[in-house]
Amino acid sequence: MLGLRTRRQIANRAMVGLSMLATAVGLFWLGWIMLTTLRYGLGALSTRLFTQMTPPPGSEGGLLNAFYGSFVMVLIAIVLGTPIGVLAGTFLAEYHRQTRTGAVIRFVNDILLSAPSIVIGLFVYELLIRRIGHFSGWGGGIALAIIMLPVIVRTTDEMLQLLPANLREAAFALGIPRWKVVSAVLYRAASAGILTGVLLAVARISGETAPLLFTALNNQYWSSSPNGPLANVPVVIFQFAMSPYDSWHELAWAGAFIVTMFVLALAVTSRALLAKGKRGQ
Amino acid sequence: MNEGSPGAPRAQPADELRKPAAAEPATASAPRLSARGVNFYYGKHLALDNVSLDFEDRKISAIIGPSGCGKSTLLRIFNRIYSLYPGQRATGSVVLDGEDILARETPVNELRAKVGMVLQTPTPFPMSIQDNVALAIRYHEKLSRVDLDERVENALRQAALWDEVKDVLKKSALSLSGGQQQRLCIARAVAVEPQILLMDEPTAALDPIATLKIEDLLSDLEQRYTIIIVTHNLQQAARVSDLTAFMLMGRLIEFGPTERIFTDPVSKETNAYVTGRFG
Repeated sequence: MLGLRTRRQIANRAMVGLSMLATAVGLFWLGWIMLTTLRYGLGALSTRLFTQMTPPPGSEGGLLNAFYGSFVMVLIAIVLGTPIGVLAGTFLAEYHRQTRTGAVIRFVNDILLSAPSIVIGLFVYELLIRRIGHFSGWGGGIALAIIMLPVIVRTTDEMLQLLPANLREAAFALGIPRWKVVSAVLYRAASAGILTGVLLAVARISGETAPLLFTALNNQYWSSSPNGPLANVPVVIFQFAMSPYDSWHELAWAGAFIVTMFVLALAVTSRALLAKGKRGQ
Repeated sequence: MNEGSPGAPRAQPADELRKPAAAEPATASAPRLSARGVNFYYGKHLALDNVSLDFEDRKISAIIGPSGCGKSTLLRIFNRIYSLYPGQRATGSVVLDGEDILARETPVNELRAKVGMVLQTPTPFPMSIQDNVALAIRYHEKLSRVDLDERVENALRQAALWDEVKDVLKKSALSLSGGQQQRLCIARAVAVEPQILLMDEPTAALDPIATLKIEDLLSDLEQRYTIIIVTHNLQQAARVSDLTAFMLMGRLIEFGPTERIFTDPVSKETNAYVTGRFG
């Protein structure tokens, strides 16, 4: 018969062991993905990637037009999504913190947060692309903005709610109206958190493929205007990876590697920002 | 709404208080702030029960009592800060400048410009020291750059902070020490030139030296403002206040000159509390 102490130690070690195993299983796939993209993309990782257009089959090239298109569409998404998202989050946190309306909007926002991105792509396709009659970078940007929106609404709402009640009371006690309290005091106090939300939302949309298939599609050539079809990294990866050409495969791997690193960098930056914001308060 | 008549006696509900106390505050000057029959509700819970008292102009009145007696609740009525929270409600009347501040039509932002507040924990805004003080002035008045700077300096001087921060006005207010932050909050409150300063345990989060500085400051501020301070530090009430109100379980038990409240209280409960037998 084992003593109580020994039995507990065994149970403890078993639990620690299982938790570590579960963590290892999770991290294993992440590591595998990173290593694989690096291994296969390494050959194509060169300055060519950033200076040349996507090539026709069989010849050399880079991903310049795809990077540019992705950049433009993410920028459109940020410009459209951030103000709307921050204002909507403010509306929830400062004007409908405990109301029924607030609860309903939060619930709907959470549904939008987990809506399949392909549905959002189809939505913008029906709403915009079919009406204007051709694929467009604007449509891509709008679809990405709709995907960003619930992330920003939620983080803004949460970050504002996390601010100490004292700060809000101290500001109101000066006799300044709510809009001024929010814009002059609360936004500043929550700025690191809100910015983190925006960065996380950018990370989320950077790799989105489905909504762009229906909106911006792709463009083999350089196009500086978002008025027409626009090349973008995720769709290029999709198209090149499906192709039978080795040189295209390599470019797809390189694109995947860079997008993954970009998202990783954004995640790390946002964490650092959040930590810095917490220290500042 | 008005339950008490304007000439209602200042002595309070407790039955044993019915006899007129010999040393009630002199009524020579009209009260600056006058509460009559104030009840306060957190949802359905009655937290203040028929409280009536007058605060005299340019005097320091302390509100003391054990935790949960309603002293902060009472203070938070005077600038209607409670109205930020749904479900909190005050009835009765509180008259300032001939107006009932609890009346729906009283503009709350104008009221708060007249009744400043300093909270228990220092609450610097995440901006420069100068902007902390200037923020509310900018909203309430349109001043020239020079006049604004002068007002900021004046407010910081009143809070005995000017000499420590005059060279670092552009620095973040978060870089100040706790005691300095609390004096900054006082500067911020006096910057809009209120008539009344509400202080909710302003030294509870500070060390003894910072506490002493704030207490010294109070006697200077008394020359210009009517100060109402909530504290559960009895020594502090005895040191700084002219008048003291003792509250218990949502009721005002006794209100009078501080010296009398501490040495010769009328009520048994006050006596028990100030001599440290409970609380």
